[in-house]
This record gives sequence, C-alpha cells and structure tokens, in this order.
Amino acid sequence: MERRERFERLYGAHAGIVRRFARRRADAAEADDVVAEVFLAAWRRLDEVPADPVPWLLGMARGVLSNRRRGEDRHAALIARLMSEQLANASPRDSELDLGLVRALGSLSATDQELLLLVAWERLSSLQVAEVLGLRRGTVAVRLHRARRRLERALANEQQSTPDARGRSPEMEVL
Amino acid sequence: MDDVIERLRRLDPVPVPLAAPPMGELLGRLDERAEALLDATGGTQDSANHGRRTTRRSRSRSARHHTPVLLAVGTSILIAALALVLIQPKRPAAPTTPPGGTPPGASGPPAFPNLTGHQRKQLVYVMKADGTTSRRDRACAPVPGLIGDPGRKPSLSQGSPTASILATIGTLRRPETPADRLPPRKIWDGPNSTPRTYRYGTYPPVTGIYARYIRYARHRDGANYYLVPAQNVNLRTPVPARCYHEQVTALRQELPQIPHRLTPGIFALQATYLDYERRSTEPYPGVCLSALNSTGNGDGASCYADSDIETGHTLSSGAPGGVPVVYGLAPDGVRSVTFYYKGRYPGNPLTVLVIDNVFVLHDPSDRLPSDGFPTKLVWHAANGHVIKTITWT
Repeated sequence: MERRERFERLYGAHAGIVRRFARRRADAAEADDVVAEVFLAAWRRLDEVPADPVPWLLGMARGVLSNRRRGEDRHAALIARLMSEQLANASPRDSELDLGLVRALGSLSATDQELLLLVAWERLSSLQVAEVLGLRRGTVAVRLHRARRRLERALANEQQSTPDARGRSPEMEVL
Repeated sequence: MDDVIERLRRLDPVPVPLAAPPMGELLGRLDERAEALLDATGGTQDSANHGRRTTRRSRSRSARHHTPVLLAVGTSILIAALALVLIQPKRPAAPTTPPGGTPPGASGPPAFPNLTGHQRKQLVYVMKADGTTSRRDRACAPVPGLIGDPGRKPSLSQGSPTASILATIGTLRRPETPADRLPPRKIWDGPNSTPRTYRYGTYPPVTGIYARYIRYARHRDGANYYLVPAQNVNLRTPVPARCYHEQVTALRQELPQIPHRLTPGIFALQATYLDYERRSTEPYPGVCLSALNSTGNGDGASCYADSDIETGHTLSSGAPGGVPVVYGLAPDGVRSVTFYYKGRYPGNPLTVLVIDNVFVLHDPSDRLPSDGFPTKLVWHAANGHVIKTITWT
C-alpha cells in the first residue's frame, strides 16, 4: 500500500481516538494541537506503526501532553476539570453527581490516576496500558490492582467524612 | 459499592466518540505551513525539524527519530505530494460561480511563496537557523496560538467591525439583545477551592473583540453558536525584531556545514522566509464562530479572516453539545448548504439551512467520515441557485 494511503487510513481510523484521549485531558484547542503533533510524528515513523496502533498513538499523545505541562499540573487540572463539569452539569438534586469519587480520585497519585483512567475511559486492556506506559504487563496488573484498592479506600473515607458526598457540598453554594 | 471502574466511566468528560480534526488542519494547527515544506525536502528533515519542534512546540520523543537519508530521498516526491495536500488541503478549489455578497479586497493570512525543489532543500537549513535562534533566545520562539485557552486573556474593543465584515455577515448588523451575551464559564480550581465564574473563559483569545457586536446566532444539538468579530484574529504573535537578525547570523555560522551546491542564493531565500514569517504575524480582522454548551464549555472558537469567508474555508467539526457535528459560517445570501460525501450517501446529499449565517450538520446515523468533512460543499441561495461550489482535493 502506498505510504500516503497508509497514513490516511491510520489518520482516518485513529485520529478521533487520539483526539478524545487528548480532549479528556486538555481543552479543545490543545487537544487538536496534540493530535497534529502525534500524527506528524506518526507520518515520520510510519514504518514503525505496530499492528495495534492505538497504544502506540496514545503513548505518543501522552508524551506530547507531558511535555506541554508538568505531570502534577496536568493531573491537578484534570481533577479540577472533572469537578467543574460534574458541578456544571448537575442540578442540586442530581443523583449522578459523583464529586466524592472525583475527590477520591484526586487524592491518588498521578500514576494511579493515569492507570485507572486509561482502563476506565480509554477502555484499554492491561497489555495495551503496558504499551502506552512503557511498562511490563505484569507490572501494570499489580499497579492497577493496588490503584483500584487505594481508590476504593479513598472513596470509603470520602463517604465517611462527607455523608452527602454524592450531593452538593457546602462550598458549592458560593456560585 | 459500584465497581469503581464503572463509576469512573460515568465521570468521562467526553462520553461520545469525537470526529478526527480535519486532516488539513494538521499542519495548520502547528501554525507553520513551512513545516510541510520541510517535510517535502525529505532527507535531512528530521535533524532540522528537531531543532524547530523542540523549541517551538514540544519535546516529542518522535522528533528524535531519524529517517534514513536514502529512503527519504526515494520517497521525497511522494512526501511532497502529501505536503501539498497538507499545506492547503481544505482550501476550496476555484468556485463555479463568483461568491455572493462578499466584497473584494478581503484580507487574511499570507500565502507561502512557491518554491523550487532546490529551494526546498535550502529551506531545511534556513529553518534550522530559525530553530537554532529559538533555542539560543527564548523570546524568538513564537508562542503557539491556542484558541479556547482560558489562560490567554482576550482584549475587548468598543469599536465596530470593518465594513467588509459587516457587509458580509448580516447577523452582526442586527441590534444587540440580552441573548447575545456569551455565557460565563464555571471553573473549579481544585478539590479544596471554591468554584468561580470566569467571564473571559468563553472569549476566544484574540485581540480587540468588538464586544458590542457579539451575536448569538442559533442553537443546535446542545450547543449555542455565537459570532465574535475581532480586530485581529491572527493568533501568531510577533517576535522581537532582533530575532530576524539572529537568524541571519545563525545561518552564516552554519554555512560551513551546508553542502556547497546549496549555498548560492540561500540568504535570498532566507530573506523571503523571514519576510513571510514577519507578515504571518501581522494582524488581520475576522470573525470567530464560538460553539459553546450551557456551561460555557464546548469547542471554543474557530476564527476566520475575510478571505476564509470569501473562499468558503469556514468549516469546523467537533462535539460542542455532546454530539459530533460539522458546522461553519456562510455569508449573507446563502440560504442552505449541501454536503456531499463520496460513497456514503450516493445520490442523497445532506442539506442544512443556514440560520443567522451559521450552518450545522449532525448526522444521527453516524455515517459521516471521521473528520466530518465533505468532498464537496455547495452554497445555495433562497431561490435554489448555486452561489458557490467548494471542493477539497
């Protein structure tokens, strides 16, 4: 297949996935910048694209995002954004409001957050997560298990300290 | 307790699949058409590009990759073809009829001059000097323009848009109403902080927004569409004048490493390049189309110069209201827009009405291509006459 055709197929099939990955972690404009950078790199490295290109592309997108801001900033921004959207999209009695979970997630390390969200949002297998993060599959399985436990513990603490954790918290009344 | 992974899934801020950005914007977003020309030069592209990208954009690991020279030379023609597609991929071809209602003399970003194959090889070294300068002097690394970046505060103007923009976009000429106010944006600064409302969160970060002329155009599929005219919609910011002199110095220093056959005329090419770079930062007026949901979030804004509106280069795709849509801006006189998708809707093109200069296409059957862009777009007048046919190569 011609190189250009291969590239166009790769782009057509996966650019939306990369955009969604980036959009979850950045604003719309930055997400599109990330897509551009990832696929420019992919064009140059087209001969290295593996059979399952998704983890490879997401790994590059992760690298591009990491270089744009420090890791801790990125994760703090992500949690802030989740809080913001939960708050903005919910009515005062909205049972779907899950601020407690966002707070619990925010209490985890950046590594734990990243692992959990790659599985939850990108719906990657542990093998794919391992490829994205450049880790061994076994390492990912262990870390994922521990991250999940830590999230469950944090969530339990959150629910104990805030009885109405799934409701609107007092400081939200400021708006 | 619910499985935490399932609960995390429900927090997903982007629950629906997103269309890929138009491939034509790939390099446009990098703000440098010359990037594509650099690709077109093949061979030594990575070494030169490395300097540029690491200083201007990011330190992507991919930039460290080195394509074998022979392979790159062998594929350079192919790459050049791709580059040509990427440089102006979504620019429409010549219209079948003259545009209706668009005054002459439209302004916009400059075009990069056509280069010979020899000049493209020279350009590698000219851009390498640019990269060297950016590394040595951080003020010479342009700040990328990010539409929708809440950290970049726009400026407002109490003036009025240019006559040509007012003549082209009738919605801007109607009286202001309370509905025209852009919604505030709620931002939560962190788990332990108080949520705050940022007025500027929904303004595109352009210069001289004509605040009195912001107009709400329409609602469709969960998003509100606003027209935001501004004095300058060019997001490229100027660099200090010294940077251009420093680039000449850098090229002079790198001259011993440049093949002798490429040195004649290389400074003349650099002058052309620097002139293009300088002109690329000059301001030009335009209109931004902001697609926002009720919280002030959404797709941010896409900004168009006069010349973009004139040529019909005003399409965007995204999911501002939660569903994938393709949307754009059309000048006065365009009543409907028909999208043609090759092989997807044979004999059954999709037509949408233009309301207050804005059109939005949402395909519930989700059969649009990943970037949402059609192969052909036709603007129709109210009487059904074709005003303009826009095709993409």
